[in-house]
Amino acid sequence: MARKKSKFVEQVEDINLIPIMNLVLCLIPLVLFKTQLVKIGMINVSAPKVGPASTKPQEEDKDKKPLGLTVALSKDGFLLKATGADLSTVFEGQGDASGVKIPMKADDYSNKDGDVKKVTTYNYIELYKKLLTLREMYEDDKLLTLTAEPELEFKFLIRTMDIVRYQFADDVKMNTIAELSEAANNSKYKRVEEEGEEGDAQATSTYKPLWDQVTFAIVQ
Amino acid sequence: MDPRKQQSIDAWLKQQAKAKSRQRRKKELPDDGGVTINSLMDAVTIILIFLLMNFSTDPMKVTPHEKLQLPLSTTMLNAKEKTTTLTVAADGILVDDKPIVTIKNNQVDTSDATSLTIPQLKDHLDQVVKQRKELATALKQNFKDIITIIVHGETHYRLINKVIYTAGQASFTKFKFAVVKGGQLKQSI
Repeated sequence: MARKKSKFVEQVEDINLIPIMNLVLCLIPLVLFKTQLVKIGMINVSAPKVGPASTKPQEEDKDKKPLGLTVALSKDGFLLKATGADLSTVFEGQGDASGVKIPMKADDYSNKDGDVKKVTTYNYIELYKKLLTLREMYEDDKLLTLTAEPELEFKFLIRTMDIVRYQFADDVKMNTIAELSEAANNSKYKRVEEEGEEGDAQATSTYKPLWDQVTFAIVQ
Repeated sequence: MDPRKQQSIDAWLKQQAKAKSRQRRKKELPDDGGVTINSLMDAVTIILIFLLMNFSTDPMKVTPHEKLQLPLSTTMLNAKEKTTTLTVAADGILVDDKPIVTIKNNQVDTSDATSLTIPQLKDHLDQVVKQRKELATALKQNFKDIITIIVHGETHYRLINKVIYTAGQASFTKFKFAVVKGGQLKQSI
């Protein structure tokens, strides 16, 4: 005779998650306290030069003479100087033997709420255009020296470095600082393909440098 | 059939029917009204993993506060390696999170205003370099003369000048400046 199936079903209890939950909830504030939500980036700077920029003519061949480009920040704007060239002849009708001045510019500033107002700020667009012209003339030069008035805040130097290091793509509009800012934020830079080393067929793509070796002038 | 027997059978059947309907009703009711923590557990685990990932991938940690507001930048370079850090906050200079000198109104409290070197900082950096060189020799590695400088955005250039010069005197030749990524120029003119 067939045996009757037992109606008894073993009841399986759910896992008690409450102790694990307690542990996890204790871990969250601990990790939250230790973690940082702002993303930290780095800007590489070459070893600084000590002393004022040299004005002595160099005895090397004129064609090989380095440009020795310096961007000085003051409360009135930028001053472009070069030890290896007379910039007033490069940018005809602008500046003198001491360099080319790029005065501050009134530009639209939109705050977080979207309100737009006029502020006077550094003319980053003009600086970029001038540096691009110099890049085309002095292709082998890479070093740019930054200097500033003693009272000038560090954040302005960082902003200037953001502009001078890479070339923007050709389609980037540069009518206002906001347009330039948007291009920089979205990394709309020109790209160059670099061939891999021998045996490494893979080519890498990097941003096209403008004046990417930046250093600070140490002035006594 | 005996009417008594019939009555007792009817009563028993009624009882059975009542018991069955009671059981059925019980099944239809929700379990016990308790909170289901499974979904909460899932959410909390995801948050924990996210935080742990953030925590473990950053070789350098900077906690911005009132006296240390890092400048914004559009740089794409990340902090890849752990190096000696020199922090210039609004109220002091720290090396590897150890306070070295205090700053008041963008000037080092004790140093000579005309000198480029900050003596206390130079002494401390010399010690750090010595220790690092000994460690590198023991581990048969090369000493890395890289220093990461974390600067408060409103620090004056004069002070930065002094700090860089002093670090250079202590045989550091490669400088990295820490910034907050994704800064917009227009928001910080």
